[in-house]
Amino acid sequence: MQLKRTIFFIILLVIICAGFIGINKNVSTAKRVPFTVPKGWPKPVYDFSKNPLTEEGIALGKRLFYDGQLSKDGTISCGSCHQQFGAFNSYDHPLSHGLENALTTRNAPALFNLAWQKEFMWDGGINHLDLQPLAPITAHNEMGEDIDNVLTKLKKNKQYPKLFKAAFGDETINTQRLGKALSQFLLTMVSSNSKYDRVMRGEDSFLLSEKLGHDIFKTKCAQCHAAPLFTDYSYRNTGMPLEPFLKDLGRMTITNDAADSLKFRVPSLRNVSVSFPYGHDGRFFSLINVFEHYRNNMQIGPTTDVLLKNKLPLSNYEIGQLRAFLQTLTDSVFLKDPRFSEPGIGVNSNPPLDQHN
Amino acid sequence: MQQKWKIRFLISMLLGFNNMATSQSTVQFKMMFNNQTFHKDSSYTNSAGDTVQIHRFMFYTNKWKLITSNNDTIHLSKDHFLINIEKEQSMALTFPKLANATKIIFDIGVDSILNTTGIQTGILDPAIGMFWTWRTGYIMAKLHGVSPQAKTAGNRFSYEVGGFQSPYNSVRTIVLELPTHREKSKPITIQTNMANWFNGKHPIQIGITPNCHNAGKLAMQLADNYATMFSIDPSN
Repeated sequence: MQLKRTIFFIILLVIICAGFIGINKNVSTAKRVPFTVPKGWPKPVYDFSKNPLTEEGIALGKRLFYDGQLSKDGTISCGSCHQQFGAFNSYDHPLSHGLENALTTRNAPALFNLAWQKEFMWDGGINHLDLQPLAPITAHNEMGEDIDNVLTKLKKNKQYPKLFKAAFGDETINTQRLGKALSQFLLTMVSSNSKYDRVMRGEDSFLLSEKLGHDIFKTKCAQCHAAPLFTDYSYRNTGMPLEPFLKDLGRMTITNDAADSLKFRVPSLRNVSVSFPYGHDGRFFSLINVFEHYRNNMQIGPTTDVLLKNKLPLSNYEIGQLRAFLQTLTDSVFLKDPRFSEPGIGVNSNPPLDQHN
Repeated sequence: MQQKWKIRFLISMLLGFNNMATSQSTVQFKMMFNNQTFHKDSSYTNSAGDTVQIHRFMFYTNKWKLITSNNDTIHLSKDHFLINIEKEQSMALTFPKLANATKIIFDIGVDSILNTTGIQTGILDPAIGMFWTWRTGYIMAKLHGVSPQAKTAGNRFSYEVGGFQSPYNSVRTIVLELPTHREKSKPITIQTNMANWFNGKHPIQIGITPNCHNAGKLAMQLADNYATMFSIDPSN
């Protein structure tokens, strides 16, 4: 009787332990990667506790970012329109190209420092980084695919179920994990090593024109393009007349509020020298066009920003110094960082000749 | 001997099922178009005189609760449900709680917190297609069909109602009075009159507004309209 009881007890113990082994199988063993906030920068807005960075998660996100399978015909990846040498913008394209020669209606923005950005798109319509990739994936003039089809393709793939398991603990592939993996990769794309940053850290010094440009910048531009992110992420009408073909009303499309007509998100000016063309529809080919817009061509309307009601007076001299300063925001470390580069192509890819700035 | 055990087992199973049945509330949606039972392929005429054939009708619901005669609130579920005329089983909801209730309350839509915290899973997975990818937010309810009055390709009309932020929050709370002295274990049948999409509160003409694909005034009007489409079936 005693023996029977002991045997029963041991069997019970084994069953319980086996249960724990089963549970442990589903716990991710992925290697955590800390997120480093550059010194003096604000706290990121992205909630890392809901999606902790791991080596496996970042690697999966990178693979997805450069995978054409996310588009309907397999030809377009996120990286097609977000190119590293343009700080992940669509280099030299006012509007980027989508499926079957379709043109998009807005300029593909450069991608960096996304952990500090609360809302996405030029109109701020998307309120979470995880959700952002779903927009280009499903837009008929971008990647043109159904989310369900993307998930089906990933599930059928030989590699992806293993990669999702490595990143998230089991082979489940769903929209949430697709978004989280892409976010993990995108969050690592921090640009904080420009000459400006080195100067601020006391490791380098400005040339005279850069220093003068910085002073002018602080009085004339920094109210909206505020350091260290060089944007305050607000929506403003900078006097760009309505484009008659695109008829893009910007922020008003989201809020339905006439007061938001023609307002667009203030873009960061980090890497600005390599991320032309400029403006939400890429209407400005060069920085000179932008300066000319601000000092002469602005169309003042009822929703034009109060800071710009009298346009933005700039002398030729000031423009020269500002250009010198803006060059210091180019982060050549970021632009050549192999952690972000397309597998198989790498950082050796070079942009076409810069004819604009 | 074995036969006897089998019978005992069966009896206990049946008793078990009976016990389950008495400790849960069942809600059944019954789709109508005015006084007629709704059929997917049939044509109906709405109050504006437009002829409509509806082939897709889906909506999210959540925050189900009962109010008892003592004014106590009994929360039935924390889950969201997607009611879909193309899936018979989606139109019956079962909650593991029961009460002598005087009212049943639920929301049409998706809780705002789930519109602002990234990507959800399960019935709220954006892959289901009840989600706007170009601007964040769930489609709370959608109604697709054809009408000769729709001056669009294929005479299609398409109403997708969403918006979770003031002043265009399209979530609506529905309060329905339950008949007194009703048997509490009896399923609650909720008649859902799809004709109200066009005239519940605001008159909607398909010829003028055949599409709704954004939060805003039209979405708010449609939400006001369909908030009136529910009533407790008189047979309850």
